[in-house]
Amino acid sequence: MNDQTMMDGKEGRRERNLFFQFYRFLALNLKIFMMTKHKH
Amino acid sequence: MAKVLILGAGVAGHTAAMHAKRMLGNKHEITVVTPNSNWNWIPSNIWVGVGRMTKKQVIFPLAPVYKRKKVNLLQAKAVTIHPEGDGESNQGAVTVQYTTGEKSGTTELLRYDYLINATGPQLRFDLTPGLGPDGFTESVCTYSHADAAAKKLKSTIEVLKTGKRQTLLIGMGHGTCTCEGAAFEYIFNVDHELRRAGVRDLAEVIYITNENELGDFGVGGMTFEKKQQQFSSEDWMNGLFSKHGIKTIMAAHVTKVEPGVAHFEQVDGTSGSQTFDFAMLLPPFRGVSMNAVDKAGNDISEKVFAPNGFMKVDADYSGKPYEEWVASDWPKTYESPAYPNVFAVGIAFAPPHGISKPRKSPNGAVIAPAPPRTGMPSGVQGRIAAETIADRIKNGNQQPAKTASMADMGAACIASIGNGMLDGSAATITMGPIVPDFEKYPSTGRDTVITAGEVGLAGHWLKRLLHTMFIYKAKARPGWSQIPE
Repeated sequence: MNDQTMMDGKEGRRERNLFFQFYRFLALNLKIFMMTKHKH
Repeated sequence: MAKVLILGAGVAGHTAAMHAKRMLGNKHEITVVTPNSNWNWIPSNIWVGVGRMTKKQVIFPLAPVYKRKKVNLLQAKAVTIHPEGDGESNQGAVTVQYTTGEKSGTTELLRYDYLINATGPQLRFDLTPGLGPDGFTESVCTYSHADAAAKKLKSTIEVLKTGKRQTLLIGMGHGTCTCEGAAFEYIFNVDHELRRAGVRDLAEVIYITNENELGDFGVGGMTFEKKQQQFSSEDWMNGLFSKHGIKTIMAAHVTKVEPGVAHFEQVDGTSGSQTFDFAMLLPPFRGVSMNAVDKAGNDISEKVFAPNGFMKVDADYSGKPYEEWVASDWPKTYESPAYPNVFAVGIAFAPPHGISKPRKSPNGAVIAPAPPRTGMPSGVQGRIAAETIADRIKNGNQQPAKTASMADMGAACIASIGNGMLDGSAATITMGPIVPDFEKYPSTGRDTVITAGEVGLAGHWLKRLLHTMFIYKAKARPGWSQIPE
């Protein structure tokens, strides 16, 4: 059993799609950066 | 010239020292006392623990950085706090004991105008007989522990390659542990390494935890919202553990470890034993061994510290029942209520209570994850303590303290599931606030726009980026202060 066969469906395909992952990388960076700018 | 004394040089203490120096310049004296000669980016110890990084990649020596920034560094441990001064002076002081060099073992009294306690945790392996590197299990709490764990894991994989089945037990070594996220990361990284080595089918991988449900992480779990449907971190984690074939022992307090076997009891009163060939079990944390005395030398530790050894700050320690816990119980300024020039940040401050629901076994063993205070919140607390002190030194003691309550602060937790630029993965969890506020968010306690979780390669890239970025920042390279905590 490996990671490829463990994943299925849309979520699994997205986890392996480099373009989608790059988009998520940028989106997560932006989200976390915005969280750090929150005034306490 | 004001004297700022900082105990500890981890994420909270080092951040406080760097910001205090930046804001106060050379007109005031910043001194850091730490028994460690190296700064350690602890989140990457997970990768050291599976042999994907070396010790050198996660540490750097503190002395050159402090020399360049003109911050005094003493390699020593704090022994006694004298917040009211002593017979000679009313100025607060700390007795420290040197840990290396010619002065090793000798003590010195250091005076301060402001004190930041960022001593972090004491790793109490001794609370579970047989736990830890001196017993029969591995740890990833320090880079040395992680390095030893990697060697043991490598030899376990070698045995698996001969075709012999092995059991790997990973998780929490006591009912009151915190940092479930670290154990989660480690078990998935081990799973990843076993798959990479082609031996996963021969290995039984078991997660033992003090959490009542998977996905609790010491923050009482999370509720996510996706396409107007709610689902819990428990559902998410159950799916992930099941997908990776990892078995679980839930709500467990490890009572004793013997060679190759861990004994435990669970919240429902069940007792059991689990055999293992490899075990990485995290220890419970307590405050470091340090006492406080008044001007006459009488012990006032109870006034300054909570029973668990962590320092009392501006939190509600009345011990109210779980049903009455509210977000405002949590500290905002991290000032000692007894001594306003003393602060405690990061793991060193005493939380008012847990976040997860407290539970006990029929035998009375507390089985409840302690609240996490590491990483992002630690850094923020270190910075705001430094900001308060700098403001008061420059503009007078009447200046209000800066605030950063964990009940108003978001956090990102990027839990590695495997290291690899193309085949790695991580669970990225963002939550806000860390401590749920059911008055502000009656439905789930948290902002459902901020609180989210996802698994993917993007998370691994992000964690790898943070590794490089935070080591750059901690080295105080150009522009370091622009990098957020």
